[in-house]
Amino acid sequence: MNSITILYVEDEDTDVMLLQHVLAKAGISNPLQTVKDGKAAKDYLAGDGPFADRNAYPLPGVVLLDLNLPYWSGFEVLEWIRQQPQLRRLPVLVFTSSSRPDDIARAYDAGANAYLVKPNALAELASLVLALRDFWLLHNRLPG
Amino acid sequence: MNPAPVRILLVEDSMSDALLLQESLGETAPGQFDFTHAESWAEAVECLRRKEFEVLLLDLSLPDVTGRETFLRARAEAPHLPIVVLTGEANEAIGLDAVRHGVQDYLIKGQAYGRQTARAIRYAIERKQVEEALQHTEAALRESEQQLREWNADLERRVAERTASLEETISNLEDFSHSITHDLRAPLRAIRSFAQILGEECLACGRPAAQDHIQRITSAAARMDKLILEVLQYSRLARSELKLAAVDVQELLRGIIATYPAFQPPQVEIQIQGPLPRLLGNEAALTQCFSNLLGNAIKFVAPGTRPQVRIWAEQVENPKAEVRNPKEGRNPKPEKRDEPLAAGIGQSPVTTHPSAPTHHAPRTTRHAPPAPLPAVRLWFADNGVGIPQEAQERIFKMFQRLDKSYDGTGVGLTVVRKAVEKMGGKVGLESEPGRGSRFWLELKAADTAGREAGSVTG
Repeated sequence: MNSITILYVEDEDTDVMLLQHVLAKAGISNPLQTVKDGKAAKDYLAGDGPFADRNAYPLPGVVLLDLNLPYWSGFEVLEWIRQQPQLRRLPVLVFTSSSRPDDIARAYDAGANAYLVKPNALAELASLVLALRDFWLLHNRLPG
Repeated sequence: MNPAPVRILLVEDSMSDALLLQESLGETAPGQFDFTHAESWAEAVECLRRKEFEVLLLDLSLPDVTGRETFLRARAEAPHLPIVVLTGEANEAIGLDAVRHGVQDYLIKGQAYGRQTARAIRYAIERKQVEEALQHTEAALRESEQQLREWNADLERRVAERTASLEETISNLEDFSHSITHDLRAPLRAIRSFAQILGEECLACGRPAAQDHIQRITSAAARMDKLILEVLQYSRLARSELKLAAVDVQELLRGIIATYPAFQPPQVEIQIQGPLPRLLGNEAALTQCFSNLLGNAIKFVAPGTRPQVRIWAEQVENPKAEVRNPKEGRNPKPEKRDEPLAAGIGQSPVTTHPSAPTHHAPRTTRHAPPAPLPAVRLWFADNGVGIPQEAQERIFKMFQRLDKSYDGTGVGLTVVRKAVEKMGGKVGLESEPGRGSRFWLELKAADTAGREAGSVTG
């Protein structure tokens, strides 16, 4: 299993806590970094301002991206990522409560690598996290 | 009954010609004509402005204007006045020309003026009146047409406005639904998940009452989450257009049963007494209907009973005949419900799969007249607790739950009914407490001759 950093862009504290809880239960020890809005996500990935220290804020190997975010929406973050030469291959998994077909299409159009609807039951979240672990941390090869 | 004398303006520069005309007409038709005489066009214009005339007798060679110009000016000066031109014998052609330009008649000078002349003058007046009336009618007609065009344009504009406003409303509704899913479900996710985490943490605390309370929070939140999803599903269904196509309901049911362990043995026994004909419906909507009906069938059983469900199809003999609508709440006839359709709807034995139609089947020939599609009832019979007669209409209404000891939201059957109605069908049931329920939904068959006519809709 690789040890990449996971960046979780999420404005809901409870969703962050739930994911942390489920990751811990599943024994996933990869560092989880969180930012609470789209602009902060962009700053983090660009290494701007408070995120300049790459030791404290390492570049993530995979991004979990909510869509409904303050300042910049998830779509804007995704579009920005795909325009950055050093980030354009970064795997971005949209993680949202929207199951609207429009949003799904738009996310893939903007270059999302996956579209995951937040489960509302803890057991389903646990099973989703296990699937993500197996796919993204175990089987999948990330770009260098 | 002496009519009032006709007021004539005679424009004639030859005094002798003018006198001849006045005198001969005076003799022929005494008291019928009242002459005013002008010797030039300028004088005529003076007269026209001073007095109202009924007809203009116009010589075409006046000192101040001659020929065609004369009647053109006259027409322009008095467009509503009947005009009779006076021409010499040698140039009758100009008289004809004048008539072509809207003058009512012409008289050849020097010929005897008599009864005919008097009549010609009166006819000229009549003709002009008819012409004017006709023009007036035409103008009114044009105006009406123009008005109609304007109204039509206005109507189209208003329809476009209303349509735009409706589209906006729908779009707002969709945004609203979207924010319902997001904004209402997010707090529920927190309540539900943290209650569960709390429950796990509390396992060791040794207080069963606390655990029970936490369990109640979790399941109430889960129920509310389900309720939100189902109401949302209903509202999407209610305002969507369902595209209809031939649906292989037998395959669809098999798929649904295979997908959910809850629909499989040994817990339950669901039996498709097929073959089932293909129906005209919407696959997504039918999936929803079947899942809801099967879910209900296996849920509402007496404790300790192993749910058993049987599914079969039955052709509705005469679609126009009495078809029980759940709204009517009438006592259903048992019909021949225990005889599954032996061979789809058609008469030939069914051994072929829809993807391999029997090409020699006479009903699939391209020139066969389109037979009306028969209606088919799909029955779902269970061994559940049953539903009393007086509650059978109520269960299709939103949020109606007969027995709160069974988990549910009271939306499932509402969704079924709305979906089936959207597909042009009906739903209903037969049931008695303690004797199970037999729900049916009725849709048009996709093929006129049952399953072998798989080529009808491809």
